[in-house]
Amino acid sequence: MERPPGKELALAPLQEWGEEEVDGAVYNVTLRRQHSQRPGPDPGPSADFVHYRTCKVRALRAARIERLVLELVQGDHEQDPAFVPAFLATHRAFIPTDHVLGLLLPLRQAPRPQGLVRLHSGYRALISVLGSWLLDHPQDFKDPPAHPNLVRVCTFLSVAAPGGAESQEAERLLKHFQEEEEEEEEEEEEVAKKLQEEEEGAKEEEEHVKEGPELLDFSVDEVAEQLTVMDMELFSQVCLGECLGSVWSHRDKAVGRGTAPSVRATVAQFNAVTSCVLSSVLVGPGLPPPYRAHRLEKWIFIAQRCRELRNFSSLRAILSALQSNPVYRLKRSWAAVSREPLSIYRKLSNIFSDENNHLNSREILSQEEASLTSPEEETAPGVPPLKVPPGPIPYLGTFLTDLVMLDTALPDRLEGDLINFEKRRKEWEILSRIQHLQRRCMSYSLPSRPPVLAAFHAQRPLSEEQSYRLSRVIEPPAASCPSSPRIRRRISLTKRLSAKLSRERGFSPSHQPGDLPSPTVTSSSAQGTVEQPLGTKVSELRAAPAFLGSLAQTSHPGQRTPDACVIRVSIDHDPGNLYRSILLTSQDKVPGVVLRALQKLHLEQPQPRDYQLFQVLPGDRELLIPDNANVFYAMSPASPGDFVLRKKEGAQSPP
Amino acid sequence: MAKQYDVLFRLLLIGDSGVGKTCLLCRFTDNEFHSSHISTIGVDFKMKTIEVDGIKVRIQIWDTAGQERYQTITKQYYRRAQGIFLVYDISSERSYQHIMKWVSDVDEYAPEGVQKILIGNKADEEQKRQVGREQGQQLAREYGMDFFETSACTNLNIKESFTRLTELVLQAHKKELDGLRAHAREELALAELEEKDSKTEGTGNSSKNCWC
Repeated sequence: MERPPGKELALAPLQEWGEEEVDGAVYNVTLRRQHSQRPGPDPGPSADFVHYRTCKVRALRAARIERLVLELVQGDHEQDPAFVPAFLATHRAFIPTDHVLGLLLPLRQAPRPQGLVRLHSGYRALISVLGSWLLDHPQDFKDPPAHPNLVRVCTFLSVAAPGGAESQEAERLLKHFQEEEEEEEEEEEEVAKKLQEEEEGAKEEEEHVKEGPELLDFSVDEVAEQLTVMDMELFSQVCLGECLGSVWSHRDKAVGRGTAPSVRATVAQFNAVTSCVLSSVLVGPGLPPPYRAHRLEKWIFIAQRCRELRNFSSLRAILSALQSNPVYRLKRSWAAVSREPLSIYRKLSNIFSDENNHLNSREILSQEEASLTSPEEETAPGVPPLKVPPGPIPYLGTFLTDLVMLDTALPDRLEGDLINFEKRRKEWEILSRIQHLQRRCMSYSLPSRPPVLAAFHAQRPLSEEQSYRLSRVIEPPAASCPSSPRIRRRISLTKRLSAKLSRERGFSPSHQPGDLPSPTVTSSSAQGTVEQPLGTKVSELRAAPAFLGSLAQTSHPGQRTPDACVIRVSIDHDPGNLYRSILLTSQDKVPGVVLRALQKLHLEQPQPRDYQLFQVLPGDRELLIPDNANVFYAMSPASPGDFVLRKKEGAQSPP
Repeated sequence: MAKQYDVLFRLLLIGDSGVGKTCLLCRFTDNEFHSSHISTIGVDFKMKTIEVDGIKVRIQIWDTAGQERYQTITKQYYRRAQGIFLVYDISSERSYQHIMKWVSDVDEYAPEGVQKILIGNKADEEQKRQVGREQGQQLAREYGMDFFETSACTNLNIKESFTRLTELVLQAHKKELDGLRAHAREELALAELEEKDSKTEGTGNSSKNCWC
């Protein structure tokens, strides 16, 4: 009797059965329907029948540590394939690595030689567990300077399985760690040397800034690709164990300081990208809105390119920077952004909508992951696999929150002081997805472009307060432009409240169609009366570029129009191509500006009359600012930043 | 299962990592989440309906635990919150000191009129206490906030603090609402809304205790 295949599938292949307790260990029992192996040697007509049998599958749910460790080597890993990887990835949350090794490795270092001939199956399992451990979580064995755990494993493997792949892996890892340390030491020395040099340099002239190309001077593709190069590198190095809620969420406690460096590194990169967006958008207070809008557009296109590259980390970083208050409130600039990029921006922002617990971004990520497997699987043998895009690189934060929630919601131990391994399995579900994504990431083959990376790293970070102050100088709070997205969107109190009260769903849609994808319920008055932020960290101020400090002091909130800006003046024969930053007000005329620049450039007996001031324009052009002109009004606002001093022909004084 | 509520509010939990924000949330919602959803839509136990003064208030609680270090991420939530819990850990002086910074963030990024409440969590860890009750009270006074010491482990003041913040938000918005009714004469009766079974409403694990 033939059954339609659909009917077979209608029965759930897995069925929860219940719990069983054996020797103090608690098991989850499920029933699994499996194709059974046909016993007959020749496939006769009965091949039409599908044979099934029902297996009882037991999976360890809770036990004491000794029992769990024993399961590593004695468990039926075909029945319960998740046990070993889940244990290895999460064990540090409930037992230190050396304890596991202590229980795992026999006290006698190895079996006697004759034992090697017929290896006990337990040993084989043990060797294989050690092998996966070394491969998947090498950081577990890093314990400088001596790496005692790794040495122990090396010793064991060299006797138990000499010359085997696992033994070689252990030796390789040990060598790798040792080399790494040597390199680190050298690097540290270099860094210390550099820091010292920099400090000395900084003392000499605080405003020295080497002029290089700005990040936005590079093409959209170049920037997006280099961001992806950096993200890929950092994401692929994330240690799974560090993502666990119990590890990551306690990172700020005294005991946990310095923990989770690989996760921290991805967060630091994310913050560096947002900071880069902020500082490049908040340049030149006098920059007219269309030019700033151009910068916004460029970042939108970079974000779009990141999306194409399936880099969700930098994509989110850029979007969140564009949505951050200092940038978001620049109504005039946003009003000047063209329709096309604006629509791209909305679409991209929608990816990260927080509705339904970020369902959108989760689904998109899954789809992106899936798009990689299916074409390969469907390709017939012999046909070269379709070229599939590498990635995706996820935004790690969503996983981190999920893991913190899991850690909080599920107890570490169950009744009878048993370790709740079910919790670890749930954690492993998330960790294994991260691991999977990490492997996918390896297929990126983007070349590293040092000049772009240098421009990225040269970007001076702005503190939150600086960003906000700059933003308020660019568009003072009182000013409200009628064409701004926010004002256009501003709805009456009535409407807002009725909207608030009549949200049909628990997850109320916050974005009206046509809105900028950013929170909308904020009343506009909230913006106008922002309090001076409290508790600015001294370190933030110190890290600030000097010119920003001076700018921040001169610009008061509530100022009607920006009547000051910062210009950068260099001198044409300066070999170092250094510039000095000068605060330019609407009162400043050429001689005064030249004199200040010369003084700042440390020229002895400066003779302002001997110099002409040129503004550097795009395309190697220069604009001569006439001798008695008001610089603030004479300069081209299009490219306001850079000026050069050139000596007049026939001038007498020495350089 | 259809859920009914009159009004929806968004509350936000902020404070240093490790102060037990998620624990508070999880205790308050009785771990109301479906374990089967974890792998697909993540863990989500963030909704609860409570009744205050005869009004059924659905509260959605945002917790960005784990993402505190992403500088721009948490702040995006500020703008849409109507009420904010500022949480420190009584056994961590540092987390108390940082409340200042969190308050300044709120002042800067949250809408005007957002309701705030100060929480000193882990009140059960008396032997490790670094921040006195009075210090908490004083800080709350300075900022004009209500103050609770809570413990997710002993269930101390959990419901009370969530209810209090909800009351405050309700009061703040009721005023607006009343004024609105008088002036606009608009049909704005608190909506009786049907809500389809929300994914976050699980029953399976609700008996589980929060482990902190």
